[in-house]
Amino acid sequence: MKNAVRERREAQGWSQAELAEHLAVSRQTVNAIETGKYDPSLPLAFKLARLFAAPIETLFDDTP
Amino acid sequence: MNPFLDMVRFTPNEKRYYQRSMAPTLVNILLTVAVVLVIEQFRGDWPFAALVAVALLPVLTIVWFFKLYIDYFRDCDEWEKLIEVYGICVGVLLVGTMYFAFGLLALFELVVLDGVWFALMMLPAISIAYVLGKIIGRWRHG
Repeated sequence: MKNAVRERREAQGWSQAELAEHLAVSRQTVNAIETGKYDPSLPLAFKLARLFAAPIETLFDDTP
Repeated sequence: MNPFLDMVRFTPNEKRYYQRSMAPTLVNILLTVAVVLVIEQFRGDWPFAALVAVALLPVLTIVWFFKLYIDYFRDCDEWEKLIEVYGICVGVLLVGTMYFAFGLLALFELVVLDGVWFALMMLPAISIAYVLGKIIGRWRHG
């Protein structure tokens, strides 16, 4: 699934490690999400949306 | 980030787990050597039950190791858990299949197996296959 996590993170001026700390996950998890190799669970996706104060559908795009 | 380095770099949780695993690993090695020496020395003198109890002492370190692994697994985040599941699945399926295949070959007397060593090698074989599974998981999802 495509997502805008990297763009949002960079807009905040955060490193992957900083975002990982906010989400209480490992930096590798953030990297896997950003590269689209791992789709986060619904709770983690909501956590991301809340953190970036953005609707969840603007963060994740499930169109092929 | 270098994607290859990221594939082999430990997460902080993994690092903690491997550091904690050093103690049971070392104790296991020392205990196994001690048990071999003790059993060889006292085989004729000690009662059977005592010999069994001493022979099984290294199993306690494996239980200790499993306890650490379960603690580690509980602390894993969702992506880390996915990678662990890859490791466990590949470990169990690969070694299970290998043992079954060798079992068939031994059954039909096409190979001669030392059952004792084959049994003792099961955990190390699972560990190696588990690491292989984690590498595959990280390569696909890392």
